[in-house]
Amino acid sequence: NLCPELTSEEFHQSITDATLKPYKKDDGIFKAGDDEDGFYLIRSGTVKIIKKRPDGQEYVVTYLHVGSYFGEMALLTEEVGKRNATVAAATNVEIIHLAKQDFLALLRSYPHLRENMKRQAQERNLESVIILEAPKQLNRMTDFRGHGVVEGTDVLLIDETKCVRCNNCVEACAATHHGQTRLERATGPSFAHVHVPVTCRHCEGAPCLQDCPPGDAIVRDTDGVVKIFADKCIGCGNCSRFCPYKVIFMVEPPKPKTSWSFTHIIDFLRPKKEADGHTHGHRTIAVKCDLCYDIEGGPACVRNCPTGAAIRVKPDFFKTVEFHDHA
Amino acid sequence: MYENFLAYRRYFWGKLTLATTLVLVISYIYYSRRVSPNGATLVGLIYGILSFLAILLLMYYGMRKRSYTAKHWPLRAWLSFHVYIGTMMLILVPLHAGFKFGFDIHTLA
Repeated sequence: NLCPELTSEEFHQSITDATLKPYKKDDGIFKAGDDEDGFYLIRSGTVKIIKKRPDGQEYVVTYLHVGSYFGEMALLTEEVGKRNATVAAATNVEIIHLAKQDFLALLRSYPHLRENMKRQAQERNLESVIILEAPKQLNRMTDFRGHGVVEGTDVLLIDETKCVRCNNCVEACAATHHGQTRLERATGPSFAHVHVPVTCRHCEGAPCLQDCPPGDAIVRDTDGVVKIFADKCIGCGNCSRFCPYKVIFMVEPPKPKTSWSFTHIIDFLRPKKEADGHTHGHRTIAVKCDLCYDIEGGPACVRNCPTGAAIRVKPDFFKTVEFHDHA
Repeated sequence: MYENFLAYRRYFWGKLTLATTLVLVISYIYYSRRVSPNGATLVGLIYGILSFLAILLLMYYGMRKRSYTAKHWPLRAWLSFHVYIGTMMLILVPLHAGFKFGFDIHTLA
């Protein structure tokens, strides 16, 4: 929290002159070198901060999510500042825009805010210097970005140097969800030693939410978990089609548990394929990873990985880790 | 979560295994000087009972791994225990047998 003494009521009063601006994915918000044009606060979506290296190549230095601000650096100086980075929308975003005078008035009322912002501006500058010096790291981020890993708010990654392919993560997901796994381990891309299995990334601007006919069969709750309610799902398949990462599976509704029989032995003995439980019957509903929100202990995949190869990460993860290429 | 399961809690099970193995080997040295070592002596039986209990716990790892909603303890801890103590069995069982490896049912066991 940048300014503890600033309550949300006071903040709302201070920003009555603010305007709400929507931007579509990949729209530019401002370019490096432009004159400053106010303060920006992200209401929804993700933006990308782009800077140029000395050789002219542009890199996405970082992504900012809901609740973050940008555009403050040029405003903290007295003269008319110039933007030192290009900012564009990474997903569809809504931005709260505050003109320079209003922003400076806000800073005057809350001196701590100015100090904290200056400090954070210095940290941001330092971070982008470090990132621009390490192009390999950045290429990794771009690779991950293409698979929704940075956009995702909670992503399952598998460290291939530790994974022994025991498939316990898949078994655990199935066992805690009526025998229907929402995780396919072996499919999915790998970058350096990090594998991204096919399972929901809980994207911030989730495309799957776009067109649900009942309206609330697939929702994003206040904790950021995107989940499907089986009793409301009509099996239209829209969410599954809209998902760019193919993490929503159409499955038969779970069968009630039958009493023990000979077929159970056959079932137990036959070699299991990953897509077991994903059968094509007459009526199917959509299922996807729901972060085990209704299960005590949290995500079963991570808890049941014996070697600790499976980890769940938030977007900040990519600033803290180094990627080593293995032969 | 980012560390190897072998390094779980700063190699706790590795250190425990090493310490236990040392203690057991040193006790065996004293024991074998006094008595001809075999599985039926008191000390040999103690080694045998320890092995048996350890093997039960090692086998329990398989059950714990498939108990997907269990809480105690993290599965990585169980695997760390399983690997290190399992390796210790390579020493402990011959200690129990007095390092006698004939072509018979005892060696098979």
